[in-house]
Order: sequence, then structure tokens, then C-alpha cells
Amino acid sequence: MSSTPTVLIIEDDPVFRRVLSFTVAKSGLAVETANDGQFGFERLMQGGIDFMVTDHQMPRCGGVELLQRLKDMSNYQRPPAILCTAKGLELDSEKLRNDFGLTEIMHKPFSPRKLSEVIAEHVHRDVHTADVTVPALPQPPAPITFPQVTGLGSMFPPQGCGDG
Amino acid sequence: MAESYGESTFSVPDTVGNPESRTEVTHAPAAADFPSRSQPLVTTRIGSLFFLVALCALACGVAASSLPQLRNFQSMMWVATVAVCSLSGLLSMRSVRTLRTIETELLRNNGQPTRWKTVRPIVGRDRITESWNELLREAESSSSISTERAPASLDQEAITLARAMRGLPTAWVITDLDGRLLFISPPACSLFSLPEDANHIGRDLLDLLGLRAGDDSVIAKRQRFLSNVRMIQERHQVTMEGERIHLRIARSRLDGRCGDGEGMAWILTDVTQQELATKSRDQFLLTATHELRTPLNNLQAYAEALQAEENLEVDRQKEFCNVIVSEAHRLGRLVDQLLTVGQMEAGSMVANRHELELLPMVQYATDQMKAQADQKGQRLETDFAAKLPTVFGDRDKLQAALVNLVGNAVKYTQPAGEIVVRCGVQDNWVRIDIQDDGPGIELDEQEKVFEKFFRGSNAANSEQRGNGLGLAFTREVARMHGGEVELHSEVGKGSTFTIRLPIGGQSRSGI
Repeated sequence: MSSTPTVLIIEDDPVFRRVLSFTVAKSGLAVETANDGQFGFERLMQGGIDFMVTDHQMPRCGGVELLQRLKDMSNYQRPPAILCTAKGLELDSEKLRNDFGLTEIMHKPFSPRKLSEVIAEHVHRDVHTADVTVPALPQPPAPITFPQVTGLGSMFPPQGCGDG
Repeated sequence: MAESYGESTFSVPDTVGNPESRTEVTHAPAAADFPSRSQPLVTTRIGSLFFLVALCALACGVAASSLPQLRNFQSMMWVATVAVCSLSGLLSMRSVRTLRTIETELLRNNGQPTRWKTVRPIVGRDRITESWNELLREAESSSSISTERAPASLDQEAITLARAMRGLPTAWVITDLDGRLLFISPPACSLFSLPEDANHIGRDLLDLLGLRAGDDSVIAKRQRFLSNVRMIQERHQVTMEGERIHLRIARSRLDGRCGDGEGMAWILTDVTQQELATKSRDQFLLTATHELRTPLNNLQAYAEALQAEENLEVDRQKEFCNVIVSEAHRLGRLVDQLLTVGQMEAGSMVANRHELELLPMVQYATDQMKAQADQKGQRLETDFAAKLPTVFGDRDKLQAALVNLVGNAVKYTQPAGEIVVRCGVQDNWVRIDIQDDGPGIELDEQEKVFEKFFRGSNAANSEQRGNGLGLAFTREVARMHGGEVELHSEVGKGSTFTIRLPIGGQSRSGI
């Protein structure tokens, strides 16, 4: 497992996927992408993903369907997740957040920088709660070095390897 | 007085039996035979008579006493006095005869209204007689309205009302307080698919509405309907013969004589069509806003990325700017298409029609896509007839439709594929085929690809972006010109879109 936390971005629009991965990568995280829920699922099953960002509406397998599939697997521990959606108020965000234990639901149009801030903050908080000795964290979105990330391997045990 | 009785009984059947003659009798004497309204009252007449008699007696007495020597003259005077007295007595008896008869009749029925009918009219041609008879007729006719004629006319009214109710073009139902049918209108019968001529009394309306069994919400709804509330309006969905029907139900409680509930009146309105229209409009709005957010989202994201990164390479900057430009274009196109689709939906799309040569237009569409096809290494071939008849149509819309079709072929056909555009005449149609050897479209999706916002699974899974409006627009344009777009496709072999337009442009819609 690499020392840098890996973020998996699942988004069907290539243009938006590009800017998301660019911005998140700029904040010092490793980024992988998938263009729909099915590819995303397959990638997650291979393990090594520390954080996932998924779009809501995608061909083949949408975000909610993907989250449901992951939830249904009893012995799989899903990485923290953010759901992005272009749906408006018709979506019951609170229910989704509670059902799937989502870190955040982001409504399009949103700022990719905000997304990468949330990811960085979350990854670091987890590092804190995991009681890994870490120095005070710099504020995102400054170019972040992740000396502390070595501890992340223990935070995210080899997820899904046995399930895939 | 006996003779007056005899006369009066004799005339009874005539007066009672025939209402018409009765009315004649009423009017004729009043108008013709009794013009002298100044005739003195009977009592006054009798008084005057006695005054006259007294004067005569006095005159006779005075005359007799003034000539005491003429005994014969005296006795004559006395005889004359007695004669005058008797005569006046007779005359006054004659005058009060009518009054006497009336008095006797009134005493005979003891003044009770129930026995009023037994009172007989009297014969005579004076005013009192007439007035009395008139009074009798009034009394008789008013009592007969309440006893004999009333039921008949009530029945008539009820029948008329019942007919009107049956004929009302509304699905109404009258039930008892528990929802059991008492009456049901023919439209309501057909709503529930019940035979109209059968007897439905006692059937359970709530069962017909699917409200007798179900979960909590159904029970709550049923209780609302059966509650004591006077008026209730509800929307309700029910499945009848496999079809989902949306109903608007208005229910009112019918009051009984003492203000208690006697039954319930229901009006059921089938609002399925309106409901579907609303749903499709809502769906359109939802999808449209969703589609609009995507390019907007990209615009914001890329602009922000440019703004935030201080030391961005020039190539990157250029790339981001290009994305912003193309996304802005995309947003613009999308707005145009949404507007057009919205107009299509509302049926208010306007065609600016002119005589058109189609060949240059098809050529233009092909040329437009040539660069893109070359880039993908595709062969874009044309096979045009030497000359085509003109079509009467809207240049811009037809051009956009053609570019859409050729563009789709280039877009979804794999690199190094082949696309052929053909033009020709078939019967009364100009026919344009755009044939590709791309992935093809699944059979069950072939009709759906013309629906708004629908994207075939192959298209959606490809890297190609699209909003699912192009083909919907193309078909609408073709139909607007009285033509049609057809699709023949086989998965793995390719697709052929055919657009047919009537020569000379006789539009079916008459636009």
C-alpha cells in the first residue's frame, strides 16, 4: 500500500472527472478514477482505496446502487464516501447520509476545491482518531505533505480483498 | 226554502264535475249579468221596505182618521195597510232567502273544514249566490290540490329529476353511511366496468375503490371517507383491470330529516390524463435542470481551478480555457434544445416554411461532420440522386435535424467505421438514409431512442456525451413537416436512420 492515501473518483462525465482528479491530486492525494459504478465497484474490490467520491447518476450502476451493493456485503468495510449529485431538492439527502454513513453529499454545481478540502480534512481527522502520532496539520488546500500517512495502512485494513 | 234546496241539489253534479264549465260560470255572470255594482245590500233593502210599509200604514191611518164619516173608506184603508204589510213581509222573505240558505248550509257542516265539501252551491243569479258558489269552488279546489293532485305531480317531478340525474355526464354514486351503493350513475358504472342495467344496490363502493383492505394509509383514508365530516375532497389511485387510474373523489354527507346523516353522495372524476401530463412535465423539468447543472458544474469547476492555481503550466491553462469555452457552448446548445423541446411539448413550435432544395442541405450536414469523421479515421460516403424535388420546409430546423443524424452516426460509430449518406425519391417522398456500421441499437431500445432524454445503453456507456434530445428533436421536426424518422438497426451490424419528407411538403398537421 502506498504511503499516500488514495482517493477513487467515480464520475461518468469525463470533463468533470478530469477537473476533480486534477484538484484532488493537487492537494497531495493519490487519485484513481472510474467512469461508472460498475468499474468503481471492481476497483474497490481490489482494495487500497482510502476514500471514495461517487456521482449519483451514472450509466450501468449509479452511485446509490453502488453504495447499496457495498453495504450489502457484510464483511466489507467501505472507505468513507462522498456522493455528488446534480439532483436538487428532490433528493432526500438526510436519509442517504444516514443510510450509508456518508461523509458528505455535494450538490452540483460545487467547487472541486471544497471537495478536496473535505477529503483532506476527513482523511486527517481519521488519522487523529486512530491515535497515530501526527504533527499539527497544515490547512488545506496548501500543498500538503503527508508524513503521517504511514499510519493509514493500519486504518484501512486490506478492504475487500477477500470479498472481491 | 224547500224549493231552493231542490234547485240547488239539482245543479250540483254539473258544477263539481266539470272544472272548465266551472270557470266559465265564474267569469260570465260577474262580467255580463251583474254590471250594477251599486245594487243595495239585502239588509238595507229590507230596512227600506219596512220604512216604506210604515209610511204607507201611517198614510192610510191618517187618511182613515181624516174622514171618520166614510166607514167604507176607513175599512179600505185598513185592508190596504194589512196588504202592504203582508206584501213587504213576502218581499223581505224573498230577499233573505239566499242568506237563509247559506246559514243553513253553514250550520249543517258545523263550521268544520273537513266537511266543507259537503256544502252545496245554491242556484240563483244574484251576486250573493254567485259569490257563495265561488267561495265553495275555491275551497273545493284548494282541498283537492293537497289530497288528490299532489302525489301525481310529485311523482312527475321525481321522475324528471331522476332522468336528469341519470343523464348527468358525471360519475356520481349515492351510498348509505357505510359506503354501500344505493344509486349509481351510468358513467360511474363504466368507470368501474360494471354493467349498466344490472342491479348494484348494496355493493360496497369502498371495496370497488380498493379501500377495504390494505395498509395503514388505506385504513386512514377509508376512515376519512366514512367520517362525519360534511365535505371531503381526496385524490385516490386505484387499479382497475390492470390499469392504474387516478381519481379525484368528492364526497358529501346527505342530511336526513332531523339533520342526521342519511347517506353520502360521491362524485368520482378520472384525472389520469392530467396526472400523467403533470408527471411528464415534472419529469421533463427535473431532467432538464439536471442536464443544465452538468455543464454549469464544469464551468464553475474549471474556472475555479484556473483561479486557484498560481503556477499552472501554460498548456494546462489552455486546456482548462478550452473546456470552459466548449462547456459554455454546450450549455448554450442545451438551452436552445430545451427550448425547442419545450415548444414541441407545448405544440407551439413554429415552422418558417419555404421551398427548399434538400441536396445542398444534406451535403452541408455531411461536410460539417467530415472533419470529425476523418479524425476518427471513418469513411463518410455520400450517394446522392442527381436531382431531388423540392420540399416545403423550415431550413434551420431541417438542417439541424440532418446534422443531428449524421453527427450521431459519426459520434457513435467506432474509429475506422463506415458511414453512408443516401438521398433519393421513393413514391411521394424524399428519402434520406444515414447508414453506419457502428454498434447498433438493442431492439427494445429502438423506439425509446426517440424519447426525450433517453440514451441507449451503448451510447450511455460510451465515452460520448449527449443529452438524449437530438433524436427527439429530429423526429419532431420530421413529423412537423408531415414526414417521419425510422430506424433499422441490428446490434453489432450497425444502424440506419431514414428520414422521409413529403415532396412539395403537404403537412399532415397543416402547419
